[in-house]
Amino acid sequence: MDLNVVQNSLLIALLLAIEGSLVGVFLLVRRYSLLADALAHFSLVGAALGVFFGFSSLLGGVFAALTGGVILEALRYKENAFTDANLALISAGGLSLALIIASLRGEVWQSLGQYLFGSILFAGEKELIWAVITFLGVLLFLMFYSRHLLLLSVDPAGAKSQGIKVRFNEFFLIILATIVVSFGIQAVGALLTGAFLVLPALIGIELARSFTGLIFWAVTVGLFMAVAGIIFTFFLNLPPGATIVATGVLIYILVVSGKKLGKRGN
Amino acid sequence: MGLIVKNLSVTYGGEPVLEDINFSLKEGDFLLVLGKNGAGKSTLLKAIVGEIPYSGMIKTFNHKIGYVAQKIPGTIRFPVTVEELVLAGTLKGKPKLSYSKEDREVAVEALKATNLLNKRKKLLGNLSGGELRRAFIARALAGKADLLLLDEPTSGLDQMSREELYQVLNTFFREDTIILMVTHDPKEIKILGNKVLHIDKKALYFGDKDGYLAGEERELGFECCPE
Repeated sequence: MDLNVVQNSLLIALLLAIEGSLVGVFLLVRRYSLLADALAHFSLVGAALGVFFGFSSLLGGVFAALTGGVILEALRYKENAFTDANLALISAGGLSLALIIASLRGEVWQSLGQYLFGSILFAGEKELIWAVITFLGVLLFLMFYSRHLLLLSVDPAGAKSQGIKVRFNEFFLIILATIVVSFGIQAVGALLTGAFLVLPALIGIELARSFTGLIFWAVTVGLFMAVAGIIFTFFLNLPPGATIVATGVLIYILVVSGKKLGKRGN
Repeated sequence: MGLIVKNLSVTYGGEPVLEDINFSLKEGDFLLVLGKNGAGKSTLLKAIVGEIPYSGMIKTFNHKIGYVAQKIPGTIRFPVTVEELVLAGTLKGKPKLSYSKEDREVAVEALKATNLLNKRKKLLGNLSGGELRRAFIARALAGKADLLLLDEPTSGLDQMSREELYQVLNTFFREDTIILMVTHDPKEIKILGNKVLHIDKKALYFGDKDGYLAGEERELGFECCPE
């Protein structure tokens, strides 16, 4: 195994865990948690096209996810909400289109498995650079706008009256989510990226006593999930996405039952 | 200065919701906006905030508007403390890296004014209905509002929570502030405010509260028996 690849993959996984959990928190509180799933499925189209025509499947995935994001945003603007129907349309539409493209050529079909289920050993230097850039993008945006997004989630009318631009904030959040998702599918796979983003936030909600606490717990849990998942992957040769997400689900169950038992104890 | 509303009309999908509303307020005015359901009370506030398009003129001069909508979320399923919400009231459209010392001081004042200082670390999801309302009003006050727009702030509250809220409003209300409050509780006319605007798409009455109360029977007659 090439040590550089392992190192890069680990680093990317950690960066992804942090930015994924951060974006996940805001997707969850804005009630967009299914958005990540829909975008992940749609970005498969780009990944498949990339393999089919021989260009970078990562860039193909990013581009397709962005297209999906823009379509969803346009539909949402028309109907004033992400409806189940819109999300299902993008999700199923993307997956089926990707499968059709893949079935046209054997090599695409073979590599599609990696995008459906993820692979921790996908990373070269180019991917690492991209991961660092998106990481900084997420960090910068949230450092300056996380409070605006919080207020938009709790008191949208009040936020608007304070001059907070709804469209601007939501659009950037969706763009960032899109880019994080496109990376996520490389490591975790399209089927589980949504859970990878949202699970840390879900667990954070159970543990935190403030919004700042929620962000802290989500990132901590996200990192723990990624590290634990990667260890299982290396030593037991299991698929990374499945082990990372399964670790998260296990933590969630433990936390929720722990809280129930604690309440009964009181 | 003050607030001037001139020839204000609003239509939703071709239907008129507000027609030719005219009134003006000066500092020290506390206006109660009355009218039955669908009379356009909330629409009037939304137009002043700039949330909806309208024709006519609304001038708010240099006033800082604090707006609390009628619909506030019943349950907030993620952890946000009262303090975090109220601090967010200091935000403008601009990006913000961290809250300044002044922001924190204004937030503490807003928490004091709404009687929530000792509950600032509590989660919004654990507040009573009345406390949640007051937290949202504190959020509006934290923007250093001196023109406060409240849309039925007492709806759904029990008597004790109402009285606490009346106290908060009467404390906030000063010579240099303007309050517009939508209500459909006739009892509140006697407790709060000094001016009345009664609308049913058009303005039926605008003037001093005392004048409105003196002609109460005529006005209520209008409300109870349209056509």
